[in-house]
Amino acid sequence: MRVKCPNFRYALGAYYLIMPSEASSNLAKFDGMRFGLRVVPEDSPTAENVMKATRGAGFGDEVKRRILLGTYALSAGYFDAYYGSAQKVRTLVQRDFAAAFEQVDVLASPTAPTVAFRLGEKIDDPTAMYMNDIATIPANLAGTPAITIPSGLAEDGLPAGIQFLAPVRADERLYRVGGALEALLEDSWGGPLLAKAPELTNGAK
Amino acid sequence: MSTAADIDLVDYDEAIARFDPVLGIEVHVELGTATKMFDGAPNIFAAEPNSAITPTSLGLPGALPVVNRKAVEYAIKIGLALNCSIAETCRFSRKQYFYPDLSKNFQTSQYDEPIAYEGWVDVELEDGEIIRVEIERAHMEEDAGKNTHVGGSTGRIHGATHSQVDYNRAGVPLVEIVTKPIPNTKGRAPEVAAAYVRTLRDIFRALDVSEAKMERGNVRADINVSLRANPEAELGTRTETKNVNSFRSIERTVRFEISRQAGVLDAGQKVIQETRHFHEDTGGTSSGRPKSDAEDYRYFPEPDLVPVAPSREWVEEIRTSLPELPAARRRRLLGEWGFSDLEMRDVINADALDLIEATVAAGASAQSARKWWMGELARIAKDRDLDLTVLAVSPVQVAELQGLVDGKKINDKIAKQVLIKVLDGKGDPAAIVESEGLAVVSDDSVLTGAVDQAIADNPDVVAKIQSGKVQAIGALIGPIMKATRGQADAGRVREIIMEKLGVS
Repeated sequence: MRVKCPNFRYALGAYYLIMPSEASSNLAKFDGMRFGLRVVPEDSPTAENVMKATRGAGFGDEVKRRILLGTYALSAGYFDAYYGSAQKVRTLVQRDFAAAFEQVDVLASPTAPTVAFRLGEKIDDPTAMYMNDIATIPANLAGTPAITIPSGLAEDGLPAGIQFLAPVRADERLYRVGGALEALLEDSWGGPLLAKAPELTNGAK
Repeated sequence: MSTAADIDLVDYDEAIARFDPVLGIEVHVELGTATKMFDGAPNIFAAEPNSAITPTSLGLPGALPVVNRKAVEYAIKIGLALNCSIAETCRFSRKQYFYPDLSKNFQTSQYDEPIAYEGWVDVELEDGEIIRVEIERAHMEEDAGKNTHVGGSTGRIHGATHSQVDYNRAGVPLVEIVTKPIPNTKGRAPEVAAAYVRTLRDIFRALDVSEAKMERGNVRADINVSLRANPEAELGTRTETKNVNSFRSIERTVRFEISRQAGVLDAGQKVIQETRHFHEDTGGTSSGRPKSDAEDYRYFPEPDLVPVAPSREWVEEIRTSLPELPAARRRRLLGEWGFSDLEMRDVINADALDLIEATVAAGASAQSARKWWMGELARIAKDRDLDLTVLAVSPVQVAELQGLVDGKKINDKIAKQVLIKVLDGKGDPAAIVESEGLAVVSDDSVLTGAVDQAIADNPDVVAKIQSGKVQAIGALIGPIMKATRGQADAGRVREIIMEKLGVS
């Protein structure tokens, strides 16, 4: 049966505020002071400049993007509107799950709105990448268990997945449902989906 | 540096006559738990640098915090002792800024949900006046590590070639207690500020939650001062002088800021809301960091910790186990000891309350215990520039010494000599008296010989006594005491002289 989870539509936005906020904070310890990479600028190697140079050299673009987003979301004057609102959405998503699980034991959905990208295809389009998380993020926000199993190949040979979701601490339902579907699918495919995967060719790393 | 250097200080009394000072005080106390706030590293002072650490103290990737239950208990104790409400649920938040002594580059603290809030404490000033200070909140947090700047002449970062960081202190549990604005102190603002911090220090010690040694930085105060035209006016802009570490420095900080801010306002300028630092050498404060560097700490709830929700049963259990607090104890001891209010205040101001109580517990009378600690020992401590509490004599030894005097084993004068020997580490009073033969000589055979000698040596004095001037006996007793190294029983000597000379 179909269930309604009206607040899931806000989950993606909330997630991409909470996650970068926490990332900006969690990654602050990578400063070249105690461990790991240390880059010492030649002119004026103060602690602050060493931190700047180390972080500038050590983090990749996506990490920097998230640190910037998170730092902004936690800034004075923006906290309530961004991080604070996102945490409220998180509560609403949890309530949607609670209401849904009063009607059903597990939920099923596509894992992603599209089949897999071609390798490297969207690397310069972070928004498209974020958007592709739309179906998996509610579970992450609510702290509920979820499992994804391969569901087949699209016409162009790229794989798709199906996701099952269960209430908190009911993880074993996911193995039962996932295992049953996997067995049926593998019977119909004549083996695991991975066996149909092409050899990786150039461009793949 | 700020433009404050150009400001003329206004004479303190004049500043007080024209402005109304308002205080606000933040006190940090390091808790005396066995381990740190969020990890199992030992909470110890002065260990080898970077020896009391774990991956969590160092903020290594993957390390996670766990709240120290004992630290929460101590925070609740402090909250209850300050008449605060204890939160049914509260949480930790991250206060974020980059600094090498802050291993994670955020301090795990509490922000909008402190463990204790809305309390008060009564502060007694030296003349007995009592000021009630309202407490805004008390919250839990962790201490930072310690930077040492090497290569410069001053030990400060300016001119240093490199810096070293010791993370032993990183993660040590702290409770920060924040007052509401403290109004109506007028000219007594410096004294109120110091007395408030002293009151907290005494409470921490009574609760046994901290060694609470100012000189070790166990207790640190941030002093906020603002001026307004009169008590009805809006609060003025405040400055916050950080980490003031002695009662005297607290008084000087408040005094200086009142004079300085009055100067700023007189010059038609505005007081800048800023962090300032107190300088022991000059007694002044200077601007901390430039305003362009104003911090945004980006507080947010600590995602690695669940909220702390102390059960009401636990809070009540802690409440009933609270020890007698200093104010109640002072009232009780005042009644038990029969001191005057003035005597009691002197005892408190000299930090001698514990010493006298322990001396009384060891058997001395309250008055004799007070006489030793506030008299001879206070004088010796002052001569040696030491605190009474660190003198090398215990209350038990003082009581033993007084016992020897009370039992007429020694007289007051010998007792003072014995005390010096105790302080010199020669042992306990009775043993010293025994081994050095200092007991009072009341054996007539010894005394009679000394009396006979004195009579023979002083015929003129003898003549005076026999002619009726009995008070001249003193002139004979002196040489006798000298001959017996002060150990003669003066009363018995007097009796023997009178017998020998046939006077009464």
